Amino acid sequence: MTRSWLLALATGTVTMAIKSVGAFMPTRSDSSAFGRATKKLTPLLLPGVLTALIVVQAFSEGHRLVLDARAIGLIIALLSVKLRAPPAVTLVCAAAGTALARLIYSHVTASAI
Amino acid sequence: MGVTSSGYRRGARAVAPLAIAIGALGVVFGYLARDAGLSREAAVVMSATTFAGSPQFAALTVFAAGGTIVAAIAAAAALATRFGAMSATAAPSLRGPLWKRVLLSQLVVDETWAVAQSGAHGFDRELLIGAGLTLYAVHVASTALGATVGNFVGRPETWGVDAMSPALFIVLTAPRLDSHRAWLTVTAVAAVTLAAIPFTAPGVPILVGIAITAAIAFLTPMNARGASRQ
Repeated sequence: MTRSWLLALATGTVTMAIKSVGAFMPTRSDSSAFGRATKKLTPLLLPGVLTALIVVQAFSEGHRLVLDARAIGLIIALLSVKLRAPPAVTLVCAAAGTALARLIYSHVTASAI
Repeated sequence: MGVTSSGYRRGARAVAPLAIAIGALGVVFGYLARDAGLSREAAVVMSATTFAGSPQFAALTVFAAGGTIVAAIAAAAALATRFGAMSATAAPSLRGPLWKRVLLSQLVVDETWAVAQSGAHGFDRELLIGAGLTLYAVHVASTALGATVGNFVGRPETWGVDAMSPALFIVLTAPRLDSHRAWLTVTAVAAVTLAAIPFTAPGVPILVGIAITAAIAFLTPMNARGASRQ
């Protein structure tokens, strides 16, 4: 097997194994301690986990904290959710705002040179 | 909820706009994989088995820079660990025999977990399947396209597609901010995750955020509104 095939298959196998954790846990949630724990966690899980993902995706680049055009997209998304825009509109507006901010920034820096 | 296909369809619809972002990343991944010396088949197999953007890019980056396979896998595993936590929280909803539960859990990535977890009664299997199969098809097909045709999308950041996942997560989080505990959670998680970014390996800040969420869930009393939600 070549190194590149090893990379492809090992990355796949390791990720698949990690994702399988839930398949090997108890499926019945009613009375068990696991079920009670799930019940306590459920209402907070989505806001908590998604907040962590938002922060990392919007404000980081590897190890570094960065404030860039993605913040514009984030503000647009917050505003359009506040205005009750349909989800698809929110996503497209956030992308368009971020793209526009990058375009303007690249023009400004280009003309400065 | 009934037995209609509406759960699957709602899941697919929720991630449909993301197809642009996932597709662009897939094309870039396919192209970069060829550039790093992978065959087209190997690139597609890597996407089809891993089905997760960040671990694939991490492994490929280490590999392309001349790192060892072990280092590449370690980088991918660090970023994939959160899927283990997400999959664990989905466990009560993964029904059927073991092989089926293993297959279902393969569909868990950030966006599909988020959509499935936004179900009215907690984690919803049909939403996971609808969202998961949609993004899986886009991910694998776009990898094949990028590995065959080359990178025709350029830098995906130019199109702002990297702002789409966070936007979806805001859409899904907003309706859940209905209690003091939820606000406490998002504030604490945001602060601690931000603080962890410069000091920990990529992937770890998200795990820290999940740990903070669990700590608040288990250590603070559930108030009446929080309890009535689920």
